[in-house]
Amino acid sequence: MTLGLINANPVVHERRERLSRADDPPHHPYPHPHPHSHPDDVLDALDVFDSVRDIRDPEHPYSLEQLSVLSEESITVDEKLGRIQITFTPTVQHCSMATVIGLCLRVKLMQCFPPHFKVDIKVSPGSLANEEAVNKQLNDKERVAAALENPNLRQLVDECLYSSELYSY
Amino acid sequence: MDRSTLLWKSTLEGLIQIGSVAENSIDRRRSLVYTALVVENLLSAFINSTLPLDLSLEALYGIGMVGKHQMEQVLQVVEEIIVVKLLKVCLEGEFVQADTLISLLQFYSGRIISWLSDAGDVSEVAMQFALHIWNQMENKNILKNIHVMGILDALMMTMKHLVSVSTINHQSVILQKSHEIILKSVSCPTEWFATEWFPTEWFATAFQNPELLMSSPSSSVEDLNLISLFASVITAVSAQTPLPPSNPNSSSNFVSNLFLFFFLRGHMPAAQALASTINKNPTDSKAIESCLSILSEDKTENKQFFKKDIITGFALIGKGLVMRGDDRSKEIIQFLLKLVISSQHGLDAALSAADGFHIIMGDSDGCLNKKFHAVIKPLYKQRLYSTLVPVLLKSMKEANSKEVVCRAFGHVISDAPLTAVIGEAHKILLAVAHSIITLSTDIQNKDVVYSLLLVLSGILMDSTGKESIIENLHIVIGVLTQLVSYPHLMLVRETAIQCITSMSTLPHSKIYPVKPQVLKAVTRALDDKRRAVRQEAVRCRQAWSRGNMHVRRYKLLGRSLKKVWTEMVYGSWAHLFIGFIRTPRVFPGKFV
Repeated sequence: MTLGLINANPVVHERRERLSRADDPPHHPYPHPHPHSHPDDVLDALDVFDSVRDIRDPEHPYSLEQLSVLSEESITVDEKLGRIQITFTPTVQHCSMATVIGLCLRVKLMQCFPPHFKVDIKVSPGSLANEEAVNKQLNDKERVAAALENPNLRQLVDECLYSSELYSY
Repeated sequence: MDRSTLLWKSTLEGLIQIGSVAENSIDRRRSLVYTALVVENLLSAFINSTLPLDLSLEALYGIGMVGKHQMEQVLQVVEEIIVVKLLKVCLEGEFVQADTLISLLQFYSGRIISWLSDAGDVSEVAMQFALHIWNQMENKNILKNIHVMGILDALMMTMKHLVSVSTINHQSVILQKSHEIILKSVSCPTEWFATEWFPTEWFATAFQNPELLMSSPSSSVEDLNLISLFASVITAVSAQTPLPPSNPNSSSNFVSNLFLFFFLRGHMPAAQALASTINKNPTDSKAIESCLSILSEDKTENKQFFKKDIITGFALIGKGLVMRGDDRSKEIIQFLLKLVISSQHGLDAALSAADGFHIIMGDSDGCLNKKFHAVIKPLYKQRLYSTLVPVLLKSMKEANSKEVVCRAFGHVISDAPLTAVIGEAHKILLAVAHSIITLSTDIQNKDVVYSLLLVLSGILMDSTGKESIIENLHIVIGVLTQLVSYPHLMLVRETAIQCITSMSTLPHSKIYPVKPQVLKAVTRALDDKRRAVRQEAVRCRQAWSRGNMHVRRYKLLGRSLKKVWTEMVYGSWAHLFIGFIRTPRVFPGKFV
């Protein structure tokens, strides 16, 4: 076990251009002719990705997107069944930050989506040594709840989630 | 924006910059070269329709802005094309070109004429084109088809713009020409209106006997179209322009009598013209006495009277009087209030009267505004607001139909200047909350609900308004949480959530009792079918969950990282081992 950073030299990728969605102009007082369903507003992978792409890595001042831990293709959303599946790729094989990253993802998704959505978070197959154990830990409700009750962990998760507000301007 | 559009826009911008440099340089040859190369090429491309219409209009406007001379060239070409298209649509029946014609008319009046009138005097040009349009109106075949597909509305707005930028002399010329055509072409005997033979009492008695009104000759489509166009001229003239006929022997009541006649038949442009005349020259016309005498008679049996068009017309006349500061407006206001509060003449009449208040208090692009030379007494809205609000507040408790009173109240509050409303926030806040709740059941009220919500958010942003909101916090939160799930309009849901988010900054002691209620409502909104609402709900939830705490800045030191690592390695029992790990033991090359 080392004292220093798990991955001292991460590969940093460029931030992808953010596509802005074409919305109805907000000042228009009259709604779309079909007020019951606006087809472009259905929840999709880009929505989920937009909410998690700016989570900061616990070790470095880069976002998970920049470190290629997450990408839009790794997210699957089924709105009818109410399921979100995310797969992320830690940067090194023996990353012990994987559980922290998974915890950050879960907290962010809990905040951004309604409680009836089932969220599955996994590491991508073959990217981590103790993959099965980590997957099990990340999807266990009780262990997640216990981790969130720990004030140190909570503080770390808050930093990863909300420091994007400090840095992203 | 895709690449080709971006390229096109950048190229246009470049051409405009070159043009303004050429125009401002001392060497006149540069400007001439630019005109020959760029302006004329673009104009011929426009005439041959090689570009899509919206792009070519944008290009023409940009190039025209380079200088007055260039804009006048653009103006000439656009005028010619408008006339050609008008003839094609109305005479040859090519109705597919109607949309193009309407876009051209709007571009011409809304952009070119406005720019030129800001840059200098455009009166001569405007008058010539107005006269040219009136000349076309002598052709019965054009008149017959001109109301098709909204062309008449666009033409009326163009005429209003043209008249409003003309000088008083030029306006008189246009008036003279239009008056001649009216006398020649309108089939109902217009000499009635010009002489004293047509007394004002005729109107009052005509309304007692609807047959008398209907027995006068019915108006053809051509008549109504002509009257509409004439009305647009009258709506936009200055107060100083003398109205026809200019012959001192005949009655000067021709215009007001003519429009009063058509207004009582339910013709809206006539009502607008009448209101404008009354606003600008009330002493000249006997029309006001006629209107008020109609109102003063008891009309309980005459259902004809309480149609939407008539009530709206009276609201317009009332607006003309109110803007002027004339005391005779009180009678019309009383009439509308009576309709709203008692609603004895049916719900439709009451609703029309409630909407009448929207017309009186609100601003309109079509008539009775500064652009069309209305006579406006300063602070007329504030005065009317302070007269109406106490009456409406009192009647909210007593009225038969509370929804109608709330609708009228909503219109008055949302159209009044915000400073006046905020100053009295403590008096009206509860009434605003009550109105929102009452109105939110019916989909027809969605625009009023949205306007009232905007007023509420305005009160929230103001420091004195915030005090009254804090005093009535439970009620306001109750209203906002109910609006979070308002099904009829997305903007209402979005704005309600934004208001709730800003309320998270209020004193903690006041807001913590309502926190569970708020979080429950906002969590439901996370599931909304519109993305914008969902995003606002996320922000709101974060603001209310985290409270007033700011994000503390941390540095990730090795120490805190160590704590995390022990947590991960030893699981939830790490706290038992922390003491064990921290004591200085000798481990082979691990801890320092």
